[in-house]
Amino acid sequence: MTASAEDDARLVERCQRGDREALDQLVRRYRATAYKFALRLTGDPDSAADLTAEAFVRVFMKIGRFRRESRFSTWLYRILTNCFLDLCKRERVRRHQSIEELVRTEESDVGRQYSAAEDSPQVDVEKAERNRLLQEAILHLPEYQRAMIVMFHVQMLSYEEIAETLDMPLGTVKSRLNRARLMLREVLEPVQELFQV
Amino acid sequence: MKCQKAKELFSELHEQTLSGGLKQTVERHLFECPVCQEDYRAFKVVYDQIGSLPSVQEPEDLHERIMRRVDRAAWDRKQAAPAGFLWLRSLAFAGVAAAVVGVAYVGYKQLADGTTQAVPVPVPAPVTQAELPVVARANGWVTLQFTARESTEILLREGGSDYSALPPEDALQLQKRTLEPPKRLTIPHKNEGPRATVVWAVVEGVPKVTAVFLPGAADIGFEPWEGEVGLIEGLLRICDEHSVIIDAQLAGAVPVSRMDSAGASLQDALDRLLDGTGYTWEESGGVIRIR
Ligand SMILES: [Zn+2]
Repeated sequence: MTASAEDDARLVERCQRGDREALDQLVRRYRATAYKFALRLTGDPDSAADLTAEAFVRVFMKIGRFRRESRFSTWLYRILTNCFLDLCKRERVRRHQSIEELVRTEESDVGRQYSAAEDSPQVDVEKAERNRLLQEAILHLPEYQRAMIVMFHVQMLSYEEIAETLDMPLGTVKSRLNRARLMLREVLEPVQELFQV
Repeated sequence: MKCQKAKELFSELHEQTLSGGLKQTVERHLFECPVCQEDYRAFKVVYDQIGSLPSVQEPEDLHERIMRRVDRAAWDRKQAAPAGFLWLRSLAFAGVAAAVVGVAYVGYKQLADGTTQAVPVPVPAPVTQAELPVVARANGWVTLQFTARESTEILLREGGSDYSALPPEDALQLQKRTLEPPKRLTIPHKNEGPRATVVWAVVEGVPKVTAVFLPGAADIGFEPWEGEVGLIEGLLRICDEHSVIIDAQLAGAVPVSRMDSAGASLQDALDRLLDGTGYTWEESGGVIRIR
């Protein structure tokens, strides 16, 4: 067990005894990770902050039942994913906008950005544009695939960790991630010249 | 090797985890197939690009926002009346009153555009023996017909993810009410979103729980899936994949089963999932009934 996992276990144990200070420390340790995950899933800073807060409330409510053989971070990812799926159900976060529409809006946005900051090199604008389109493409993925893509590529979880988090067979995780990447590539097809770097 | 098969191996090829023989076969296909070759080139670019999304700055008040919510939850928990649903646990011992004194109808309709409107729900003939709601399709609606006894409490929830207890503790509460007979209840329908969902109905005095699976509105492709699966997850998948409404009356611990959806018809999928669980299924009135 790594030192940080050991620390986590100790903090979790204190939380389970009702120690608020320990929970405060867990939040300090994991809020940035959780927020980053939530932001890439929702694409919206406010929803992401809400999702993060909601997840920690569930951590607090369920910590008594947390079995300490799995890692706290794995458990937190599972809770975050469940909160996210519930959020989708409630707010229908999924966008139904087509990527072509996005490109059209973005062309004018880029124009504005670029004329507003004429000194900034073209390459930065293109990079920002790429990131934005990529984020939008991720939002087009079905929820589970979205969670997996963000876990793997943004949060750098391994296939094994994702399988444990989502309680899915390893082979399923791998084939679904491949499917998700194929889908991203397909969604980004109309703008692929932007990605030829 | 076919193009489809080659595509399935793109990630592993790029991650260099393919075994020698397979790797050669894919590479040979790419060499001979310009379409896949171009696909794979674009695939690699996207693969490598995803990880380069810039890091993000958390809002300054995030910590405070989280702890405020946690503290409020802690306070709420303290204030909450102890075990508001204690009756749920004593259901098995509840006496069964015979007289049917009230009927409630709840309608759900899958809408594409997300609008909400109140529409009268067709009222089926009252069913006198039923304890759990009778689930029926009528004019595009799914109705839950409750046969209420004197002052019967009904609870409707939706979704959730922790199926260790039914309905899941994290399911959203839709309605909780006491039916004072004679009473008829109709709620406006709503769009259920892109993916399948479950509506849970609990009736006071009945030890089983009704789970109504409603397919999502989005047309999402499904890849074959094989492996161990909880009964609820399996039913959600079947509901979505085959666009069927499932009415399941469940009791006790939720069994773990196996799923092998490759090329499975609806019948096959249900047979495989329910095999060994003690539950059986039949179809009536356009609804799959699991008992
Ligand atoms: Zn090919």
